[in-house]
Amino acid sequence: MATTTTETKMLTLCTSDKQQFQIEETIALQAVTIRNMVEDECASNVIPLPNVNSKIMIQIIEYLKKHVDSSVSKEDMEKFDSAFVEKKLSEIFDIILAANYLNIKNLLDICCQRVADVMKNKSPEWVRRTFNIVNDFTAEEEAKIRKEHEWAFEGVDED
Amino acid sequence: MGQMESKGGYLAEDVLIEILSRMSVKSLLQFRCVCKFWKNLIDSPAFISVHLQHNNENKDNARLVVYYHNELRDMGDIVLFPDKTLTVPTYHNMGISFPVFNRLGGPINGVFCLCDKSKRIALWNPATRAFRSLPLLRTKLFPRDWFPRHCGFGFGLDPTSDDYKVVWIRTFDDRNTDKWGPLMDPIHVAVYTLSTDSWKDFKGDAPDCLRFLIDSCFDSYLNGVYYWWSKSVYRKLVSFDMGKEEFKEIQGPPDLHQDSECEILTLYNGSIALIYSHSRVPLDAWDSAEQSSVTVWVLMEEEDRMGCWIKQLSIGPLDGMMIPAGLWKNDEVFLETTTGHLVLYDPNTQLVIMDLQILAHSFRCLDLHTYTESLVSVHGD
Repeated sequence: MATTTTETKMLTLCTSDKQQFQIEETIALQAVTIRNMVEDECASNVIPLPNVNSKIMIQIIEYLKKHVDSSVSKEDMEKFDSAFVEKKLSEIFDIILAANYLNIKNLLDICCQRVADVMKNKSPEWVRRTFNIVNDFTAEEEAKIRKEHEWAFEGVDED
Repeated sequence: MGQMESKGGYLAEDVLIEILSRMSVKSLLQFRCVCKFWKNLIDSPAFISVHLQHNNENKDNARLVVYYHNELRDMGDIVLFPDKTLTVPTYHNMGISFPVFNRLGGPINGVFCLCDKSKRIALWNPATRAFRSLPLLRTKLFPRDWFPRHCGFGFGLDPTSDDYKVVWIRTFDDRNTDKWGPLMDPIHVAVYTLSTDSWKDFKGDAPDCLRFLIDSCFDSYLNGVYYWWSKSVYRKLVSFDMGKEEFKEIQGPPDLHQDSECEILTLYNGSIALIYSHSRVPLDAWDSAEQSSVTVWVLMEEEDRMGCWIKQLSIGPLDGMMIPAGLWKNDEVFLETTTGHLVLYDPNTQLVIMDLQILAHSFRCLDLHTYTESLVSVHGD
């Protein structure tokens, strides 16, 4: 490029509820899915993200803006990350789905770790309720599986 | 939500694996009863290996296991420290169905190998509490009145077949005559393979230095190869490739003192390391208090029986009688005192960081292992 003035290149992201977000390209390219779209030139001016709604997009942009900033110390970044995942599990699940789709590995990692931390010491009943899972074992089958590692069911949190 | 609902609930299978691979074995064993999909996932070899890999990558998941001989009960005791603080020791012989055992080896992928006084051998996964006795080894090679002498065990994974193997090295004395002596007795090596659940005699070349193996610390397995340190005049490494099934001798570090106090083979940051200590009476001291110094040699590479060793750590002189027992994170070293205490020592500040509150009843009977828990089966499936 011959010009000396650096122009900030912007990208427009369009969420499932048809909201448009104008963000700097360097921020957006941290999402591998967006990077691939831009590199393959299959993206026009507006990048459609049909799997992400605007409520989640706002939070993801907040995360990406922080992580593109190289002046933030490792310690401050860890502080930001641990504050960022202090959300209700249902919200974390939505961010996980979006981070998985957009392919943002760090974000997926911290959210999965958050879910794992919450699930620690929880009972199978709690897991079924929280993950919306139907128990498809018969009572006998479940009793048999429990019997195989009876000791593992000790010391579980009260529901 | 709900757009990606599957049998596993809200989350897609790959995301569910990401989450579950971060859970403890205890939680996962419980969550097997959540639903059929979760049970099949947690039991699958693919998940077991993702979970293992995740645990291995996170150094914070490394735990300390201390084995020592409890003289009061005349049996081995295992103390497990469930986290990196090393402050909550739990006694953990759970699942072990040998009434008395006296040697603990490994772990390889969370699985230990242990044996009792009559040399019955078993595999044990403390996280799942699964225990499996191996078949007895019957050797027909020697006449009945030849007397076996134990030299060493090795335990590892054959990377070519993903199969666990146990190597047992013995020599045989002829009780009726003294005509052979320790340098002449025949060496017998047997190899157990988990997938076939059977022993077979090793037919290849067994080097002479196998007669003098140090067999206390067991965790000297790396990338499909088990290593022993051969003491006495040999002072060299001997390795057994679990895949090719062959022994190899490798030169030890240069200029080791002859009067060593302790020689332990272990792992240091993914390399084979020799912890070596010797004591001396300082020349300028008016009393005869002994001081010991410890060196950690790391095997950088090996080629054609030559070893390239570097001196990684030099520790000491240490006051009083303390011998090294193992390595921990950030170059910290475990020391065993003559009074049977286990302490963690920081070579940089030259201070004892903590006393692990383990009291062995005699000196030189502590055996340390770094352990990461896994779902790996001891049944070879």
